[in-house]
Amino acid sequence: MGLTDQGLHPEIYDDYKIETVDPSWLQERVKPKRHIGLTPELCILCRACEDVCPWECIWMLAPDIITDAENPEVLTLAQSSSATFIIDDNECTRCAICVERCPSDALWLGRVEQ
Amino acid sequence: MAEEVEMDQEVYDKLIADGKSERIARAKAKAAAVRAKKKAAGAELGPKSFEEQKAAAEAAGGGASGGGGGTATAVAEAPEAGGMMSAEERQKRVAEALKRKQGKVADLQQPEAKLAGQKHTHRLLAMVPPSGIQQIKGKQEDKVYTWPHLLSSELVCLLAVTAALLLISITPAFPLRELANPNQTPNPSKAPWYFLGLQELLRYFHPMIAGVTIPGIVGLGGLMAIPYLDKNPSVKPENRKFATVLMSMFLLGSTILTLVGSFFRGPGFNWVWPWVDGLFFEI
Repeated sequence: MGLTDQGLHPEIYDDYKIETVDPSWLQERVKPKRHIGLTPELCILCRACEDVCPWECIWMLAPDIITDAENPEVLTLAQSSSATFIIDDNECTRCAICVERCPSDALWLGRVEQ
Repeated sequence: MAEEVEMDQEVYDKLIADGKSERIARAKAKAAAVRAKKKAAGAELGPKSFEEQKAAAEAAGGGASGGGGGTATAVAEAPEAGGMMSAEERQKRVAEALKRKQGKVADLQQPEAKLAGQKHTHRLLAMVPPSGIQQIKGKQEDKVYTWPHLLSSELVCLLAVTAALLLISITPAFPLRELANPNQTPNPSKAPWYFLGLQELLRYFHPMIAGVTIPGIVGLGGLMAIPYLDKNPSVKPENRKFATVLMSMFLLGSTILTLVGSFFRGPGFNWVWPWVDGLFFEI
């Protein structure tokens, strides 16, 4: 049962540490084995995805929420970016409403490569 | 439909005499009549105390749920007075509700306790680099209003051109000739200079070809066909050799024809050398 179903809101943090995606973590969920992806070159930062998400699980956040990263290059990249998009895969049901809403087709639903 | 109420004629007449409108006077007179009737029946007018209101509600509702539309549980929880609450009772309820709410807020403020054991891992979808955002390339330039910035200078231009035209037309450089005489046509009879290229063509081709086919089909039709024939999207001159050559050839051809028609044609539209036979050309 998702947090929004209980009348709660997912927690947003401001001290993220970037680690490489663990494929087993991605696959261990019972949910469909497909994930939301975002092509940053197409994103126009309109935040429509945030707006439509019924589970409140996709967020556009300021880059300074990333405080640390395994890879220093990634940290530099994160700190110099305009925005970061974070998704809570536990809350996401892959309903793909955000994919349909995205006006610039930056969001997509597909398999995350392992 | 509201039952017809008699009005107090005395009050009505007094209000009309005071200059009140007929509508207001009638309403006030009816209210006075109702008040008098109630007083006669022994009712006490004015605001009632809580106990009296409670008693009145019980009398009206017959002891049933006074909430009107409350659910079964609501009725059970409601005070037995059929939904009527004294100020103290209401205050007590509000305080209880606030207490419950604060307890809930306190719960929410401890997510760690609630979600203990669960690791908060979120997936980084993407980082949008500054260059990734679609940007508007064109810069907004300063704008000015048409009036007076454009229209005033246009007015000056208009006056200058009018003055120049007036000056040229009143100088005797281009006098009108005598009245035309159909029995005495000028030789050569030449068109205005810009048509002399076409007139030159008439020396070589049938009028249908020289007058219709070449200017109409080849000239106009060809011009219209150019965007469909030459689909080169480049705007750099060095990439548009075909178009440049085509236009140059067209300009050169029409210039040669116009020059020949203007200066090298004499009486009978026959060939002359202007430096031998003189100039047969008028603007």
